[in-house]
Amino acid sequence: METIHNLGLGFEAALSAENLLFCLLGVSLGTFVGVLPGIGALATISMCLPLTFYLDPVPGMIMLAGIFYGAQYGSSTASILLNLPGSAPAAITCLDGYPMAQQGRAGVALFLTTIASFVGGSFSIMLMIGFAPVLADFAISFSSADYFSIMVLALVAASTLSNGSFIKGIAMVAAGLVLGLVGTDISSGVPRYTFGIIDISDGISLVAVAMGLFGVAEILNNLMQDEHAVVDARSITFKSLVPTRQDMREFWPAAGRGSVIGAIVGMLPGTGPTIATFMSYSAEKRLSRNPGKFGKGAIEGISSPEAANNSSVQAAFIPTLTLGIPGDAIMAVILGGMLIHGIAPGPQLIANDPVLFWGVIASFWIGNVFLLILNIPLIGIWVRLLTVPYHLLYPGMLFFICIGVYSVNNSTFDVMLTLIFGLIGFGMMRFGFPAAPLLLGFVLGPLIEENFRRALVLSRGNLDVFVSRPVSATFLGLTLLVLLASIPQVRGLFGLIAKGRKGQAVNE
Amino acid sequence: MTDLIKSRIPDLAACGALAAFGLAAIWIGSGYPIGSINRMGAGFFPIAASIIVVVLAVAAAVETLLSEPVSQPFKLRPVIFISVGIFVWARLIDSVGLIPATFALILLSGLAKPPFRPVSLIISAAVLCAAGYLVFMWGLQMPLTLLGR
Repeated sequence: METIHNLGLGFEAALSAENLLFCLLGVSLGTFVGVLPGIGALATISMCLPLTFYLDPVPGMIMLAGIFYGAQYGSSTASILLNLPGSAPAAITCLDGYPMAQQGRAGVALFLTTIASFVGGSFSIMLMIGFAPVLADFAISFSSADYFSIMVLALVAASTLSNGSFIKGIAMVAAGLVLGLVGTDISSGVPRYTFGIIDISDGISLVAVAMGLFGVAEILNNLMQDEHAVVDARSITFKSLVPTRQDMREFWPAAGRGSVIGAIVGMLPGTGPTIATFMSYSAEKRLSRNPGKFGKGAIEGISSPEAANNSSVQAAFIPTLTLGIPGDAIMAVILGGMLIHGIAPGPQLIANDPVLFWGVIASFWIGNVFLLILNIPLIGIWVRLLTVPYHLLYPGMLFFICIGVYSVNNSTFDVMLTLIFGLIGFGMMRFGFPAAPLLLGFVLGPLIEENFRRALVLSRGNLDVFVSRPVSATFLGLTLLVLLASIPQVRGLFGLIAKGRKGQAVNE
Repeated sequence: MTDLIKSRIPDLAACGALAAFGLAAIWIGSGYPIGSINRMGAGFFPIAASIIVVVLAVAAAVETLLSEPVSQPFKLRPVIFISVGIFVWARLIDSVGLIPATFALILLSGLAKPPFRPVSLIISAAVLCAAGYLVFMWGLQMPLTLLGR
């Protein structure tokens, strides 16, 4: 009953003209950048972060969140039509989406990925309504040691579960922690690593770091590549969207499974949508009676990952809003935005600021309905967007990066800093050092230090506090498990066991 | 042996740069009060994190030596023109205003990728100036000028 009352409160807030406008703005912008390969949700959210400082927190959050999940809707478009993911999580959609386009079924693929996104998103929103308040109640008893351990898991999981070298991933987390500590120490007032520069006495600007690593660096990297393929926008007619009855029969169970996998992965700290889509795709392949059809345009191969993608994105708000611990780099930027707004996400948020919490959740549903309209009747517009050549896009993107960073503090120092982080990020990309763990470490740096210090003050320097508390011990144990699983030799062992099992299955 | 190192010089240099960053952070951090485990000073946590950075930078270098070197296409031209474009925008925005700074940014960064299309770049710079004026100066009341003070 209370939930219904709260949801009513949320819808009341979300349905105000201002909030509806910013929701629509957010999801449209999200779809826009999602469709375009080479500019991601993260760069866009950091670009819009300064704009939200001029807004109230509720419309600001609604808009930033809208960009995040809107981008997931849009990102499958380029995967299907160009075999080029609009953002990292949509990479898996290329596998079966592009073959469908080659078979002349691009319209069906676009339609089904949109419906799958809606199903996945709705599933996690409902989960959030039911589960977030329970988790928040539980989390009120969490101590500093518990928070420290959850953050350690988030950092380790985010750096090891992604592609590439896990040594480099953790190295980037640690480097991010150090960068996050730049500025005045909160507990002692000592300025750290500021070199007497006033512009960084409150810390390095989050927007400058994010825009450098994910905006400028991404543009530089794209300019190293040659031209992309072109798309025929006229081939997507309204009629071509309609799936067959057989398509729908294959669609529903796959979208359902994808939603569940996405929700579980999304809720865990440190695991983002990319992992969710990969896991759901391999699950579908394993469950299928006919695994051979994957990679050749299987309906399950696009439906399940797309549902998992959106489901995990919505579920990622659960730990961020109830614990104040972001699951991935994008949520870290949104968390950073909330902190700048003076909102401290955590177990008290639901009680202290119910309009914000429930308003944002209600806006998710409204936003998903907007996206359904934007992506089905209006799909032709977005497809046409893919015909804009890159050499006209990137100068404009640079302009919005420059003026966006500048607008935070009216500081040209921050613009220079963005350039420096852009060059560093470009170098990192070339040598296989991932940028997302660095950003996550950057945002969590001060929080993890504060909780570590407080835990040890309370325990009078006794390190046992991290293993004697059940919550903390559980998360440290999980961290150890994740670390072990990412060591290649151990993983090889797992692979051998799995292979052995599969061999048996074939023999049977 | 020399080939083992030679083909991986850029990758090893990247690991070296990371290690240098960590060492510098340790060195500077050692100037801050360290404190004790039950009452940590400002230096404790940064030094601990920096030690992890250095150790993992060395580990990454070892990993590089054990794996196959990968080569990717590299062009200097985009790096130069994008950097100069942003640098010039940052230098000009406060003194000569939004319009000259933006035209300089768009035209300079437009040189990063051939073909250079001055006409379409000038049109897009004009549109961006208008958008920048509407959103940031008129909408958000930012203290910018169009053509300097």
